[in-house]
Amino acid sequence: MKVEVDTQRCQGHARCLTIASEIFDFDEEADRAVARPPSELTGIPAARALAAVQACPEQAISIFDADEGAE
Amino acid sequence: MSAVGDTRKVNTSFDHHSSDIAVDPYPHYKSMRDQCPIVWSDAYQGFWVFLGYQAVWNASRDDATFLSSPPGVGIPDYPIRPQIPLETDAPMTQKLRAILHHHFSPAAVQRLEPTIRELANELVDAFVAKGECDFIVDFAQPLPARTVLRMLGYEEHRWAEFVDLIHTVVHGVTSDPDGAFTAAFALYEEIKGNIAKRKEEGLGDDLVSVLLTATLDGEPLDEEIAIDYILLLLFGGLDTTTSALGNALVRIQAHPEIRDQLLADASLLDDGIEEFLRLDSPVQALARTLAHDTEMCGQHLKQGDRALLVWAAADRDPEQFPEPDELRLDRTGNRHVAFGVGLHRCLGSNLGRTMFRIMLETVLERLPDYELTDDPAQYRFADASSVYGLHHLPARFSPQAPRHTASL
Repeated sequence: MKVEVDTQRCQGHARCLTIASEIFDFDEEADRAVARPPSELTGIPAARALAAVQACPEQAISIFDADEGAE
Repeated sequence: MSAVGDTRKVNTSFDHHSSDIAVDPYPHYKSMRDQCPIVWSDAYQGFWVFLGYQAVWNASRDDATFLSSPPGVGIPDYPIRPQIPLETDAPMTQKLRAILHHHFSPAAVQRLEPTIRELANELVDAFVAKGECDFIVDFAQPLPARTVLRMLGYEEHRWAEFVDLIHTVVHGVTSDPDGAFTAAFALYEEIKGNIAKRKEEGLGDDLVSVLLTATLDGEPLDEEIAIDYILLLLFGGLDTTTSALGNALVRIQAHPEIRDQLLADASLLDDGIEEFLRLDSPVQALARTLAHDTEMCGQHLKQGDRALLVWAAADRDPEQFPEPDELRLDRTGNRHVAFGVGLHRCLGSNLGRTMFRIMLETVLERLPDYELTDDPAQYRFADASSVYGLHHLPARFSPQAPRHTASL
């Protein structure tokens, strides 16, 4: 699974971190959320990322290759 | 509901400051939103009222069209100095926020959690044996006030003075502009005096010191800008968080099943606090000014028009939230805008959430059978447009021995 946070859209609400801290991290300098690289997301259910996508107030998160993650 | 392509302008006399809507503004939002996501009000020389989720979201994210600089975020104009960085526009907003944003980051707030929790327990210890308290005055006001004053390096024990002045400003901007101006000036003088003292005694690692040593475009940050910034940290951090807790305690009292669920499983607050914030947002609305003509929802908005973005109405839009008036602790896809969206997202949202959650957890853990003794409606502020909240909330509960466990 590959997850991306659009840094132009993200405004640092950090809702994604609360929902799925195993997928997201926070860039303190930029005040923006960042997704961990695909290598760190092996075995994490795509539903976790999807919950963050659906709660992001800025609609800044995208999921790619969800099928590659463990279901 | 207006049909697609319907360009009829819906005229209203909606007055967000009116005491008629202060107890429960939501039916008023609904009746307007059902006609059109954007309506016109002829109050205060006229302004657009944004009520639909998509309309509020689009406007808030389009900060090149919907400006925040003076006349700013109040309708009518606030009789006080510009709020910094709230009443600025890009790129200045980002530059000003960058001075402090890492002090409000998720990690920074996490570091504060133990002391916030300790303070929450200390406050409960002071009244828990009596079996009664005023949730606002004894708990929900001092906790955020003392936390923010600590962060600023101010004398924490003077929290009540600060709360009084802030109330007078925030709740008096329309009903008592002279009083609000006087209180804002008193706060300004207080901050200015404190800065002089701080410079004399040496700076520390508090937020005031950070602002005093900050640079903007390569120059030291203007001291007047620093004062305005500190003022907004006080306005933004205190009443809002207090109100979030008061509103949630009223909800929980009204829904015994919600209380049972939360008592059985405190982790329901992970999503639950977002639902409380969505349903009863402390900050109901903020205004913008049109930079140029534009079309939205079939309405023609002109350059210079004022627009009130009603976050609280957006957060009850049935197009976005199924059964919008219902409290659902497990609501998914809760993209509420209680902290705003776009460039001006509440800088302290992580801190506000954390204080709110810790207060709620502490009440549920230590006063699980609390009962509100009076009808809370009588304690609502007379003007919901500034902050939708309560100034008193008396309650009783089974008395218990204080813990005094705080490692003071």
